[in-house]
Amino acid sequence: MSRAVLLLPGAGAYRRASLGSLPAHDRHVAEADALRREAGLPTLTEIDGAASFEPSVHGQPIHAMPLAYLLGVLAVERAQRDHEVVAVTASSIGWYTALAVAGALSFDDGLRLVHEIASVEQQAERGVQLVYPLTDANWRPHPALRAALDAALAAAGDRVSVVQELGPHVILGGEPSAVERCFSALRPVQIGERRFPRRIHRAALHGTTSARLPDDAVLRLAALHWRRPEITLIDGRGARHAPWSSDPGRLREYTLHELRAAPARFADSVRVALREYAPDVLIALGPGRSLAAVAAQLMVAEGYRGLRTRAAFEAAQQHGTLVLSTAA
Amino acid sequence: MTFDRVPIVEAALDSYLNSAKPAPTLLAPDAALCPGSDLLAHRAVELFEDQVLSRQLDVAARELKKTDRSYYTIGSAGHEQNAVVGALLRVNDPAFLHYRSGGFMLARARKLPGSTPLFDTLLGTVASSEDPIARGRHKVWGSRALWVPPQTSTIASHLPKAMGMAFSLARARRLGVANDLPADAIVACSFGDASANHATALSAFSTARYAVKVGLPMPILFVCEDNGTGISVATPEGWIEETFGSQPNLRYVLADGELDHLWDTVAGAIHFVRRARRPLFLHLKTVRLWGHAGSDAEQMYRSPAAIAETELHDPLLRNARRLVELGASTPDDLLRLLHDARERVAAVAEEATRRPRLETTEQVVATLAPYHPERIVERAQQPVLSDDARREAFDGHLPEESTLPNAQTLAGCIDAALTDELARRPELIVFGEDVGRKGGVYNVTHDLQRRFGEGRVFDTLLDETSILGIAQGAALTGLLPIPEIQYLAYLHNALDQLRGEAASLQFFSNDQFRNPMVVRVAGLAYQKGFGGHFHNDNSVGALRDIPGLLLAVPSRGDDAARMLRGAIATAREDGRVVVFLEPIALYHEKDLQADGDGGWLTSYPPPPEVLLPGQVGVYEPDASDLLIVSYANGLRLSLQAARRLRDAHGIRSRVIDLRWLNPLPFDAVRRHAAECGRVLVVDECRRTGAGIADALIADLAEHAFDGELRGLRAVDSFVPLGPATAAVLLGLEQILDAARSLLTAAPRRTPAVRRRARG
Repeated sequence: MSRAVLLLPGAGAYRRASLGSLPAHDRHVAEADALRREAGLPTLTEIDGAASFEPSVHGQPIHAMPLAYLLGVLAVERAQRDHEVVAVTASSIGWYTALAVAGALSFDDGLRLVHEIASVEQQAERGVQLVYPLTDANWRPHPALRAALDAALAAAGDRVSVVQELGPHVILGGEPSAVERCFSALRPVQIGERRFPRRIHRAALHGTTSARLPDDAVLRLAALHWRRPEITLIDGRGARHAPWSSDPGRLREYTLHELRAAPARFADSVRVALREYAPDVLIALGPGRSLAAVAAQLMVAEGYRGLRTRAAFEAAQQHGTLVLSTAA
Repeated sequence: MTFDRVPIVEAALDSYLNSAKPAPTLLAPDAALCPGSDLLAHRAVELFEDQVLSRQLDVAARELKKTDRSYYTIGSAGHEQNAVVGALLRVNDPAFLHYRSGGFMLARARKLPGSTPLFDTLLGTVASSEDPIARGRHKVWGSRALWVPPQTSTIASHLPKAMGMAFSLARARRLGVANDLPADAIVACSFGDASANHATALSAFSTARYAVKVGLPMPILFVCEDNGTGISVATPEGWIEETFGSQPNLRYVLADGELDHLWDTVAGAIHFVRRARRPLFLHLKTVRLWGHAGSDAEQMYRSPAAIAETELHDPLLRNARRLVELGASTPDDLLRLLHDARERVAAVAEEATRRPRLETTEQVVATLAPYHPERIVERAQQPVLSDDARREAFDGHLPEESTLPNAQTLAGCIDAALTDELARRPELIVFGEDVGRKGGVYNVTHDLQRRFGEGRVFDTLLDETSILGIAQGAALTGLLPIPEIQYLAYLHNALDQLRGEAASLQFFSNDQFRNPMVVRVAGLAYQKGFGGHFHNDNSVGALRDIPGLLLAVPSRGDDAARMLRGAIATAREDGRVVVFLEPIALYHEKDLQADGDGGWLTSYPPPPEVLLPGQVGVYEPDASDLLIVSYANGLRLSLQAARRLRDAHGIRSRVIDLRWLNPLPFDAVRRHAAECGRVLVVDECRRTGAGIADALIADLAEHAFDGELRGLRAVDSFVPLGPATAAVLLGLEQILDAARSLLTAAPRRTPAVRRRARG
């Protein structure tokens, strides 16, 4: 079996295309639905089975996050049939799913955690973040964009910062008015079909004071039973939590505090995975191919397996899969 | 007995874990491994994992070697308990490591999330140009982020600089020099039991103890990893304890036993150094598995029984047993750990072999000798001190305001230039034997200590190795050291501190670490009334041999001031190691042609004027009958010869002062040679001392110079006492003879050159 590292997506992991993807007669689906009923919420089966995607329903954290969680767990179970999963990492709040996937939390506890986080998100102020690219359409570092970003950040002082480092792009967060000023200050650029900077209408999930979980939410999560993972987890700083040596108490601390307090560095997580595990394949969970695209660029930035250009990567990808995208 | 002991040692661990029974109760991850110990159960397993990974790096290096894909098989197998030291020090406690430090590095890297120690190490093993520390130039333990300056550590030559850094930490802080080290940082330094016998090691221990004796902080942890063997020679039983167990002002701590005990012992030792700011000698017991290196046939000098006996003391086996018996882990979990480590390291090793290697000369030497003259000149302009500020530094009277023109000696100008530089560069320190209160044996550092205080101008003990070790360590803290070596002959006592260490740091660290310094050395011959080799050494071969080292040799005061500023600005800007060789016999010389003519005195050029390599001094630029190329004492003699040739024969000689002997100003010499057609190189150094005459004459010959060439050199001899010095050193008459013979030789010049010469 090939040695694989799993990459779990962050927020926004349930989309229009995800509708109807929950399997019938699945143990986890049934467990999830039971928990939802207990909490007085519509079941995930109902929401997933809706005739059409309603942003007012499917876009709500209280529904979208548990759905993403459940689909993530199911996808990983499928992937494990064909691959030896040597490590799991996640972009941003995909970490909550990663905990359950790796076995640091039971499925139920993972879902409880996700529900609690979703309630926090549900009540959070709208806020705004910006996505800004650092590479061009051929995945090469674009120094002018980096310079523009540095200049905008310098001008904003400590009111705006990089809250997520994904490699090919960064996410900026901070005081909404200052973020908006950054939006105007950043050099506009078109990469492929997308224009940047691009707004995300949500407050930062990491690296700002407001991203921290409220104390009452942390208190409500006190009952979670933290365990040693069964698979090594690589966190958003690039630290490893191995089945045989991790301290569940440290995992809890990281998850409930440090994960939100510090910027999420997915690029570092993937770099550690590539350099310290040298997997045969990266499996990037969907929906869509956006995480796979990020993973591919990170691989090229690393020169992994000697692949240093987009063209070389795409040619290699045709012959043998290096980044596998799997729909959740 | 099979000689490849790798599978045997590997199998012993597997065999234990496959047969071991789990403890009846398991410890909670955050429980103490043993009651009373500070080592937590999960932390102990992390340590074990780092040790296993280190071992697998050794296995991988040997596996790759079988297919000629790795270039370094000296391993850490048997030394993995040093992971405890790595785990307990902070990542901003600078660490100077010896070559069996795999466990240490992995444990230290774990403390900095995002570190990738497996890949980084294997890139070094396969000599990849992507190795983050040395870029394929050597397999070294080093990391900028982890504050581990790289060195080869083969002969304990890294101990003096580790000591020097411990010495400098507080001083740098007091002088307000910026670095990324906290106030309570300590320095660690590791070496083997056999290496503890090196003079460099003993020098560092002695100076560390001396510092305590005179009340100076010296927060250094010496880690002696004692495996009982130096390559093939056994260390006598008890040697380390007996030698270092009761030295005054050096606390000795034995670290041996089970992992938890080791943890607490090492923690206590580090705590002592951090709190007391005193040196400690940690005697860490280890074993050496698998010979000295992959190529070492251990069975040639050790019996099979002895080898097998050592293997029984494998620290991995011992730790696995401890973890299982105390319930920190289960045999199954440790087997999974082992499986994961083997699989990972093998996979990462394969990836490392796909990475590029150094290919061109340019790539190899890229960071050997960075040199940016424009930026250096810019650097020399700043900071500017007001005349008032300078006046204060000079006790009210600026040296350039002398009522008499040309009143300064070489010594006076160097002293003044040091004063100016100390006044405007707060990071600068001046030190050496007798440089402080006495002001130098030749008065060159006169008054500097009074003006700038003992924190910046200080006397050291009489040990050149330590002086250069302090220079390196000080430079690593951000200070700009100007150490003095009292006599050129004394430098050889400590030369490797420049050759193997200081000058190689930028090369082996890809310029991520720098130890800029200007080493002032008093030297060369011709002292009147103070003879003998040890104060009149006239060989610069040992210095010119060092790759990347800059060598300045001023001959007169104004040049010296400008060259010293150039040297300091070069060290500051490009991180370079510069030797500033001062001709003792010219320090207080006043005259050139006749007693009392004052021809060797100059005015003092105020800052910021500089002279850099390639900028030669030219005397009589319009003369073209003969070119005399020289430096230092030879320059003064050449100028005397030129006057006599003109007066007696009407021969007009152009004389050039090389000023910098490394790099040599080949372009300038070629240009002047082409214009003059006859070249006499006057080199006061020994004939076979790799002086500059051979190099210049060879260069002219290789560049198709077709005029007449002569070189004069000193006799291959040590310099004797008294008038007999004249029998071995170059004299005025020899220069005159050589010049006359050149001018009477049949011309071999091209018509173009001849025309120019006549015109």
